[in-house]
Amino acid sequence: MGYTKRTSGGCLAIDVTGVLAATGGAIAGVPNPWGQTVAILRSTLYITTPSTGAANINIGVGATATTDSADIISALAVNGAVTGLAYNGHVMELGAKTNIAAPALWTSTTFVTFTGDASTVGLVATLFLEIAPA
Amino acid sequence: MTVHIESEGHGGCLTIHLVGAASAAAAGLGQIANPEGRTCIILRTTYYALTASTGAATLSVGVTTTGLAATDILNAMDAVAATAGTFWNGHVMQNGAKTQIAAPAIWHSTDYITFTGNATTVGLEGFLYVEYIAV
Repeated sequence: MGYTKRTSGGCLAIDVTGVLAATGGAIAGVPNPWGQTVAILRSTLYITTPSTGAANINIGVGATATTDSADIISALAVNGAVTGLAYNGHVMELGAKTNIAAPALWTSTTFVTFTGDASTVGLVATLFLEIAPA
Repeated sequence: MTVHIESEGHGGCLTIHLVGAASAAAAGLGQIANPEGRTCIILRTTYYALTASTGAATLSVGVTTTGLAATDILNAMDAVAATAGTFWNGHVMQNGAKTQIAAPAIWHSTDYITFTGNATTVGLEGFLYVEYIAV
């Protein structure tokens, strides 16, 4: 597990590096840094360096730091010709007066987890989250 | 140079003030260097018109290398229709799940946002708001 947090452009930026393990939250399980519920409005993933081997990554809000969740990004391939590419994460809710049902609210006790379906060694990436406090 | 950074703090956006000019050359209305010195991802762009161009012209704005024209933020927007007080969405935001943000191009540290008219844009004035995140 390896991650660091910072801010950029008003977003929370989470820098992660790949790991050998393919278990839930093995890449990272990030606790809510605000201690209060927040809504995740927009998510963007930037891949600095792809994984060495073929792998897909799940990112989402999970009950524990080891929960495999995919409501931010579901099974994105992070190997191959993806160096320097940016990806939109979840589908933003753009409908008028419509419940933002996904991703799940990031409560003070839940985690944003990063999980590979195989070794993600070599991966260097940053997830940017635009949030609104509840 | 007829464009300059007006403010970097308006609603979290980079704000670029544009004034039209006679030049119809590539980047003839000016260009803005990457202000972060590192890779930036442009997420949303909005143009606010203060005054329209006097004569028929279009405005193109985009990310490219110095001195070139680009259209991946605004592609031939009607500079006469951009009348006072009107807002214009820039590029189409990517909202597909786990889909590459292919446009605008990644704003690398050595790239510019360039502004190009296809004819004289004298009379045109407005603000371009650029929401971005720095990698």
